[in-house]
Amino acid sequence: MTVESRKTYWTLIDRTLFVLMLVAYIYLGHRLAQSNDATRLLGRPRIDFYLSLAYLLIHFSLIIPLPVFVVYRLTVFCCRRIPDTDPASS
Amino acid sequence: MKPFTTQRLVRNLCCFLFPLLSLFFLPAWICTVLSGKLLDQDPETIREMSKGMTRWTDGTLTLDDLSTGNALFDGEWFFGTFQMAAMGYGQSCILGVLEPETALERMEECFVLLRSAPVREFDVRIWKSDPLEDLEIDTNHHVAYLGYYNLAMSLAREIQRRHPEARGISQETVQLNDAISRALARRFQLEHPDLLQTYPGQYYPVDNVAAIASVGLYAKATDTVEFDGILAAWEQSCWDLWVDKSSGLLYQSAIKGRDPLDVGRVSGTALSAYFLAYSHPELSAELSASCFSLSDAPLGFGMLREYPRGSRRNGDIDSGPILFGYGVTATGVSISNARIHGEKNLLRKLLRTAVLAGAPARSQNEWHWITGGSIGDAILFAMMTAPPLDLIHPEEGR
Repeated sequence: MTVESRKTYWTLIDRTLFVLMLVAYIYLGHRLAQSNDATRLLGRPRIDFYLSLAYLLIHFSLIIPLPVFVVYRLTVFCCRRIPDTDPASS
Repeated sequence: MKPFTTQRLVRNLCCFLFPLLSLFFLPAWICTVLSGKLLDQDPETIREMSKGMTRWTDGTLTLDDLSTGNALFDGEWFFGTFQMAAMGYGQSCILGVLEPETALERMEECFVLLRSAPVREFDVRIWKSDPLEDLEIDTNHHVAYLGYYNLAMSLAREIQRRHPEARGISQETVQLNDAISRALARRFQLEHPDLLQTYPGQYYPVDNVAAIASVGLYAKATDTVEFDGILAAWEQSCWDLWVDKSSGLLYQSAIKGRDPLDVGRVSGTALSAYFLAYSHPELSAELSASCFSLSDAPLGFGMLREYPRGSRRNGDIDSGPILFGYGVTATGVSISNARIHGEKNLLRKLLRTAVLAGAPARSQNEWHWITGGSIGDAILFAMMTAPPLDLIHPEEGR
């Protein structure tokens, strides 16, 4: 396997994992929001503690870290496509 | 290693700056979208909240479901859940979302629970006497239990006045509202200008505010003029004695009914401003303005400080957790005041915070706030349904 093909291979894995993570987040968030148990949490903390924790983690992740991570990945993706025209590197 | 180039520097800077910049507007934008229906008091959303509340007020909630670790606080939260739920149902009717008959029926369910033995047990235990059996004994003030309960009943009477054809509240509730209002007005008159006791030897201005607001709203709902004197006198004494002149906030507690024990705090002041909107709108506006002056919006999320700027103190059961000086109760309760007094810009920011920290979940046409449990659901139901001042006092043409 050449260096270039290895790079492509790893980039593909990287992006696939990212998309899978995104789908998993949205799917789990949706399922938990629909779950009847998730709506009775603090009233029944002993029963649903882990479910509430999972819901909250997903809720916060979807609002703060995930969007920022998406912006980061998009920026990296776009920057890689800017042609390198600096005379020093050509 | 690749050689250093201008392009690489720009790329690296972009990869650092863009995500950093996005932190300042993306989370706030997402929460703005999620809270859009709350900002407009969307009828369907309020119906979902109302349906969610019926899950707590259907009689299945027990004291064991609350676990603050303190029996008194458990009892207060149990009581507060039904009181705030009743306020929310009533306000939903004022907004025109719930039919008057439906709202009054649901309020009556709350009133029955509020006067049930398990709910009033916390007050009975600490006073060693029953608040409802002590209405003729003016030394046993029971101002918190009677004040909060009576405020919700007075709101039901006001709805009944606006919709005389609607049925829903029982004769027992009407008689109890009459008796408590008269007992409270008499006690305020007897103790003036001192505060009434929440528990033996404990005085809290915010509990007195709930009681005086209940008397004021009762007087309005029943066209009673005999309380005008004490209502005006109480407002003056509140200005003179209970408002901290430097911060404009209401003191949180007092000794022997007259000397402040604590500094002015936003949690108590914001809750007082909400109650006073029903009886003393000018005082409510002034107290709200003092609270709003302590609001900030880090990353676009509106938050209110619990203490005046520069004052660093700990939180307690009233304030909820305090994070970097910002109080959970202060922020949550201010949602109602921002709505009542038309601070739409602040309201938008506060709603973003509510969505972020409250983690709303909707299922089966029910709306719940995951982090709040029963008491959180009830308080935010009341805060989200607080009507603008011109709907609270339509006759004044504000």
